[in-house]
Amino acid sequence: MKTKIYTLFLSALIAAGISSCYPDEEITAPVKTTPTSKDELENYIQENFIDEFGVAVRYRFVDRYVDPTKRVTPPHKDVVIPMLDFLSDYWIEPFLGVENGGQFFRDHVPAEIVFIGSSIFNEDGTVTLGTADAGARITLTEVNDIDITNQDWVFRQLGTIYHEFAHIMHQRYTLPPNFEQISPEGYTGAGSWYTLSDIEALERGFVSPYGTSSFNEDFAEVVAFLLYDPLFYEKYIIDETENCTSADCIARNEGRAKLRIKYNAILTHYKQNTGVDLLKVRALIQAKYQ
Amino acid sequence: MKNIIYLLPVFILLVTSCKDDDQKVFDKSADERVAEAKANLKNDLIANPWKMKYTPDETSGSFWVLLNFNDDNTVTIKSDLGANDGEFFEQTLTYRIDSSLGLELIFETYSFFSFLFELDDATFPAEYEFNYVNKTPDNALVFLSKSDVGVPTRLLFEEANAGDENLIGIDVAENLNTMANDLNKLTSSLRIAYEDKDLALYTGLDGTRRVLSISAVSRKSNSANVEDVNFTTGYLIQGDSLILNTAFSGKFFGQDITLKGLKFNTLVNGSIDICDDPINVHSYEATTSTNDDVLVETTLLDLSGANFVETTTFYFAPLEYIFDNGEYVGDEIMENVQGALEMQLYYNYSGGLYGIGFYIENPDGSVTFALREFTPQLDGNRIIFDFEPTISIFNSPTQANVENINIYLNALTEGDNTYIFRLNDGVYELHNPCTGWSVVFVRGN
Repeated sequence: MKTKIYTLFLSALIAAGISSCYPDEEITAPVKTTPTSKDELENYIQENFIDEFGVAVRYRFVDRYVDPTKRVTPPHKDVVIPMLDFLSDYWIEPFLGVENGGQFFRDHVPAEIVFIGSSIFNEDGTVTLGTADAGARITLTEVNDIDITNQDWVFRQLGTIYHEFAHIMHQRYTLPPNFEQISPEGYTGAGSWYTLSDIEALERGFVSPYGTSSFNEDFAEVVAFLLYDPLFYEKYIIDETENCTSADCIARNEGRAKLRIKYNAILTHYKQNTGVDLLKVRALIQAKYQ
Repeated sequence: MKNIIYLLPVFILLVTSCKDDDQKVFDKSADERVAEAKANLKNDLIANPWKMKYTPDETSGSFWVLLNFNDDNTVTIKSDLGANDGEFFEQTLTYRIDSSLGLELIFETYSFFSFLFELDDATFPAEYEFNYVNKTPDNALVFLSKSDVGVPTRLLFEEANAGDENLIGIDVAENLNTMANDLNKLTSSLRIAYEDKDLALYTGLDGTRRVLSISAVSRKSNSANVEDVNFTTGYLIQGDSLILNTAFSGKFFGQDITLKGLKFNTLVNGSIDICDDPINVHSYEATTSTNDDVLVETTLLDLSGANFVETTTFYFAPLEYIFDNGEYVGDEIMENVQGALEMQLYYNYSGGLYGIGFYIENPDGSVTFALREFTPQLDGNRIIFDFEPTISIFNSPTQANVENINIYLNALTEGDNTYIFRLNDGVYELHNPCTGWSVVFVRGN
């Protein structure tokens, strides 16, 4: 009995010890409020990108968005709205303009778009034109050079956007079935793809040398080229038939045969998983060039 | 008894555990202290306008920069950097004070500082992010570059007064830019002719890096009488003057000269009449630091240009180095001469080949040299190409339309008005002022 009393007493003491040291606390932390901006650009971004799609647009330079070994410059403030209009015209509207495209875009659009004024200058003297991070952020470079009459610039930007947006597709739904088996011998690697020429890549069944660097890059490159390149079919899908007797021509057509398989697999993959017809998206994009 | 012994430590623990023995080293939280430090720096920045003599790199010259920070996180930056149609004479953008290892000042969008940072594929050691260091006893603010790889550039913000607006030399910068554009060359080509001395200095100015070079000194009355020099220094534009970091001095043709700077007066219009239409050029009246009156004038003479024949027998120019009135024409050349990768110049190569044309890579991997052979005639830094009538093909045959190389050779040599300018060791610009075409050749052997 004595033992029980002691045990009870001991328990009471411990309970008192645990609870007695807490003072009465009140949570008085102020609630943070963001005042409405008077800046036209900030309001434009808030209305058209944050509120509409949940996408933040980072145009003010923050160095943690860029690998510290690389050198970049920030964008001109004046180019931000024209750049956003360009994205609306060539990226958002074409997806929103097709059946199931609006839902697909809203569900898959990255949370952040980062604008870099210059190219990304690497330590080895090369430049990087655009990057994407795990489907959460797309970084666009050379926005200070915006000129939608400059076909090279337009294709470079669209190639980056569509390529990075395509990565989100395989991250969510994996690659199309057996995609890796279409041209398995053609892949190079992250450190050697740039030794190939465009023609050599085509002969292997790829739209670009960069596509040979991995299965995922191959997928993203085909989607990007399909969407932006007006000569996609002539270059990569339709066989050369006139005087195609040389070994080089035959090799190019063999590459195109592989690309046709990838092309069909990708169209089916998008249709089955998202309901989006990429050919209709392409048609809307190509109409913008007129 | 045993149980009492067990309870004793519990009692001691309870008695001592509620003692408030935390020692606060700081009277505020870390967040509060960071916020306070940022607010203090911002208060310092907005307290008054600042001036800074900005030297991005020890090999470059300097710029006077005026900065006026506002409470709404905007800053107005004034400079006399005349690039981008005067965009950087005065611009307003946003700034941010961040904290990382210390306080940082960041200019958030494109500015005077980022323009310099981007030079030479962003290898020029300018900066637009600064680490705050301290405030000096006389209230200047000290920053260090955040992005410099080696020894970081030190920046000193000093309190500016109303008179400091006169430090900015926009008129001088604009006039020197005008002269740099006189010939549609890549760099300016200037002659500084003394009024009261029979001397002329041959110079080039790099207005973005603020570097002046002097390549030769001649008698003003006879440019054939020349001494080569190799002098380069940074400079600063201050109001109506150009001040050299290092004075140029020496004895030339029996006359001692020292040049520490130039005070400019009036820009005068002129012309060079060697083409069908006169080329409008300018000259700038000035006074030297030793009170000599001089005329700084655009010139086609570059007395070191003709030295290219002594440097090597083979030069090459990648397509990126070929310009039509300053515009890149590489894409057009690749379209017209399929496989063309670079222009090449052979000058008495391998004991007697004189030829200029294109290096062509064919689809089968073979290489073709499509050249127009010529007999040269040098007149100072002017070269006249007396071409053979046909194009010579060396190495492998090609399917490229080699006749089209004449489009570009004619543009460069039309009217026998090709002038050679030395840009650097082993680097020469061949320029035709009548067509505006330029090719920058690099020593190849």
